[in-house]
Amino acid sequence: MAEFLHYYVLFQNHTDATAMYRTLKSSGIYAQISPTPRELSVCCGVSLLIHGEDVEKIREISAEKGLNYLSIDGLNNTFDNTRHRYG
Amino acid sequence: MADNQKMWADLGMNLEMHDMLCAVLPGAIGDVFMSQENRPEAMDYFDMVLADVHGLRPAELVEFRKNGGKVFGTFCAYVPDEVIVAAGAIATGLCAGSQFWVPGGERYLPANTCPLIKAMLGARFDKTCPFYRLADVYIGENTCDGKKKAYEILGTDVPMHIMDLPQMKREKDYLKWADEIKDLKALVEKETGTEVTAEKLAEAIKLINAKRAALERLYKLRRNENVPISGTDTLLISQIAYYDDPARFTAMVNKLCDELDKRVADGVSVAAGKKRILISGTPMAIPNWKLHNLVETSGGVVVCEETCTGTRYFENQVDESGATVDEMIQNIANRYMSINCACFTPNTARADDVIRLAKESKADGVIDVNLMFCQTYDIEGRSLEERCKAEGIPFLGLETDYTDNDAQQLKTRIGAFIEMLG
Amino acid sequence: MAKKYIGIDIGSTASKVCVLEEGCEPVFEVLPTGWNSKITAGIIKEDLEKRYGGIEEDSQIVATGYGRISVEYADHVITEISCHGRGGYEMIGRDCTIIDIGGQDTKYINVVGGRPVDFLMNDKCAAGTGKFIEVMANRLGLTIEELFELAEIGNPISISSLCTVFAESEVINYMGEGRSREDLAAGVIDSVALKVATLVQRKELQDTVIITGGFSNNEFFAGLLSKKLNKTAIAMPLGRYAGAYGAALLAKEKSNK
Repeated sequence: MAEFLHYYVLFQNHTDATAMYRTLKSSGIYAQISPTPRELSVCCGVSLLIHGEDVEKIREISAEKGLNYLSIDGLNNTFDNTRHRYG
Repeated sequence: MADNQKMWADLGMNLEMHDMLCAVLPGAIGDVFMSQENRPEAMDYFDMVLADVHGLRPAELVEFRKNGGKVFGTFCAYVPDEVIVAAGAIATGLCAGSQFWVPGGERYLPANTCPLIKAMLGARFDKTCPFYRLADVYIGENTCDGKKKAYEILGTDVPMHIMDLPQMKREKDYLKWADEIKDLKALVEKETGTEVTAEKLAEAIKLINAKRAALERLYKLRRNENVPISGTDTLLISQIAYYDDPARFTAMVNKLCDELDKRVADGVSVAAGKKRILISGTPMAIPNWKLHNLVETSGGVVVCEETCTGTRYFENQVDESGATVDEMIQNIANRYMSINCACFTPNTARADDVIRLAKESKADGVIDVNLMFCQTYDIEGRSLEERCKAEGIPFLGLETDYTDNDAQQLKTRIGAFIEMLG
Repeated sequence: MAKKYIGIDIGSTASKVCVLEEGCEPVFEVLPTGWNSKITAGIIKEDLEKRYGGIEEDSQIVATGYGRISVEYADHVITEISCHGRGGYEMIGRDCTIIDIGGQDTKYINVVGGRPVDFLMNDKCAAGTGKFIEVMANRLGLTIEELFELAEIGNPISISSLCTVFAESEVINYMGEGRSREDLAAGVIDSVALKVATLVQRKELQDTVIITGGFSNNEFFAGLLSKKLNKTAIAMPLGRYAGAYGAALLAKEKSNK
């Protein structure tokens, strides 16, 4: 997999996102709830920001525990607290 | 999430236009929230609400209405949720915090109207806020001339009920506000077909008191020398307070406070070496995070907000000792009349609040922020500055709107103020 | 070689540099900012290197002004309020109120005990700033210096518009009526002095009021402003360098800490 700044798990709905988030947290894997970046999906909503090195582990856990997700994608976006663009 | 698109279409929203908002918000959330370091774990709930702000809660409201429930849309900290909740209905805030909605509002209002009011009408008539589409009745209040006249335009196909808030604080004004709350109760009862009994009202008072207590607990934790949570994160919580289910919200704030208690015990700070700032002034509706972001990226940390998205929302409780519905309503009226908004005259108690809060939160300085064209708060700025100076509290007055183009100018002023405190 | 303390003030119109060296008088330089403050910052760096050899090792640099973040080689970035306050205080040698008329904004800074304790900046409007004078000079076909010279001999025509763009239309109307350039020039300068006085009237003025910024050496303007303020405003010959000087002084303080 190519190197990206950030990796996101995308979901069909927020129930799936919550289930995945709880599982990852209880397994001690980093995950942060995030709005879905526009570049990855035009459907707004919740996604999970994860660490690139955990991608394979997350795929395995999902298969093992039957967790649903749409895809895991990388993105070279930045979080810039001095951009001052508020939408 | 594909589910959202269908819901928004069913709600008659303008999908194409709403999509433009969806396109920019994730970037802004990344810059403002996700760039922060060492955030409390329990912010995850609020991040979730924010990440799907037009999906998650609206879906609950859709479901609630499907089962016959009624939703009341509100705009202001003076509207007592207790009465609405007691009738088994839901009170929700309505969108008014983004520049995205301002041009739409300018089709109906003079350009020199406060951006919050313009955004209110823009979000409503552009059909880009699901909450406007989900409210069965809008509850307005005459807290300023701009809102008062905007409400005349707002209530077209959705009924608009205006509460006539007194603008002085004499004994007869407290009685008058209780009367207005009785009218609200009658309206809510008629809409829901549910009587507001003493038992239900007592329960609702306890529920909303608990919500206020949770927020108070959160704000007290910020007073610690080691600030355990950023002002930006706290502002988000205060904004979500207007929209969320009260019981769940209370539980989530308390859960966060448990974590912050530990942080305080462990001496964890998110703002080591930063100057402590109290922000006073006009409300900051979601997604207006501009000032907090500017302060917290210029060497400051916001430790308190004396605003409607801050202490004005939760300070003081409703006395729970009322036995009859009338007594309870008077107690509710008394609590809401204790809010010190610039629409009242005289309003010296607001300056007292700012001084008290600045001391309690050990603020190094006060930044008074006015939304452009908010006349009442703008006028109060001067007397507030005098009071702060007399108390030896450094003071900076700022005026801004929802646009991004004054960010650098504000940054210079805020940066200079923080240097001055150093 | 002695350590150098360098203040760089990238203003909207002009960029100012001050170099302090132990045992030497402060050295001041000015150049136009141009369209890109990064390029300007680069030119300043090259120039400093030419004059002093390397500046990385034995110098402490503070950048200020609206283009302050463009000075990537600066050790510290400090707002123009703090720098003008510090520089102005040092120039006059006592606590004072500073009125700084810059290219894009006008500032009020109150300095007590050598430190700024209060400030005010004009909001989002060029009235009462250097930009206003520049626009009007262009309209009247004059250089800024000529505008000031003519203003001294004219009888001011009242220009009432608060907005620079509308004020320009107002001046065009007067020109159409055939009013004299002297009177129009006097009206322009009078309007700037009035707007500056209006801006600061809500704030406390100390016994010593000094003028910094691009027109700070102009005695005529200082006299006019003094009348409007009802208090003597002192023209500062080196006032335009107050920001750079303050930045250099703060650089020295920072490195001594």
